[in-house]
Amino acid sequence: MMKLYVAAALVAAGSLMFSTAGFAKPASKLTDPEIASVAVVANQIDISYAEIALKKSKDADVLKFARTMSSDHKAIIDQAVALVTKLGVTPKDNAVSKQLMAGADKTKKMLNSKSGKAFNKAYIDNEVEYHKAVISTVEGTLIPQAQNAELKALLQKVVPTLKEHLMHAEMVQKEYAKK
Amino acid sequence: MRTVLTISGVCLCAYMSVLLMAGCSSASQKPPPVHFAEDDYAHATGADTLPKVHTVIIEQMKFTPESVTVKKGDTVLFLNHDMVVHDITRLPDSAWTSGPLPANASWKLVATKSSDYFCSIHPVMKGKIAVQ
Repeated sequence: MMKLYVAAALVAAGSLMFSTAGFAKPASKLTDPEIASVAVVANQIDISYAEIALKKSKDADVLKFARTMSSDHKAIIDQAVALVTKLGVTPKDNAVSKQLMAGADKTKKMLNSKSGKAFNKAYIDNEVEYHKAVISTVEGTLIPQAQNAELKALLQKVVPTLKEHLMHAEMVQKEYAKK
Repeated sequence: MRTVLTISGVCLCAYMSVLLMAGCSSASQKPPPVHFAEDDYAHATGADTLPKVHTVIIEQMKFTPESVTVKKGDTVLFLNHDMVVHDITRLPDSAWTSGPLPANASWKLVATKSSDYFCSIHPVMKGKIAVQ
């Protein structure tokens, strides 16, 4: 039993490390095309986590949460793409979006290596930490650094959705701990 | 003499009637108690039988207002102003649901009894309809 707890703690710590490592604050200010890239990549990453959960999980609450993540983050990307198209901005890769993708690759490998209850726990734990990190980056870096008013407004509009996702993830995490 | 008295009586009655009418008239100009005014209006127009529409806006992952108080038969109109899909589902038994409500779509419910509800897609979002 002790081994299980240690293993679970390592998984949680590992996902936290990946998440925070993926969201290191950039040394220099991001431009609007770079902010657009970070926003799109961050949403794509959560869709990719949800796709893994939809393939691997059999838990009704986890599956429902994953479906919501997939649908909501696609809707956010649609809005972001519509805005950058309207503004004539081309999202530009940058240090933050590259770090995000590198962190996500490690997390996806970790998730793919698990199954059953261990997978469900790893997925939902990562969702809690990932949403905390995304909220922190959007509020602390992307919104303050966005120059275009419409881009800034879209980022502000996304925050309540991310916060609801975090509360939903914490709800599923709490319920799953009882199972 | 009797004729004079009769005429006087008629005049007096007419005078009294004018006074009474004047009294009524001046009384009706004073603001009546609110419930009388509502009753009068309702009886005159049938407004008590006309159901009202109460609007709940879904925005920033919240139902606003979170609680609406309505009369039985009133309509509650839900408007989704968020960018994501929501639904409106009765708590705790899912006895009724709007089904998926895309961005900018609306859904109407005729309220028959008090209900708590939530968004089954985003279970943190909750609201209440109180039927008087």
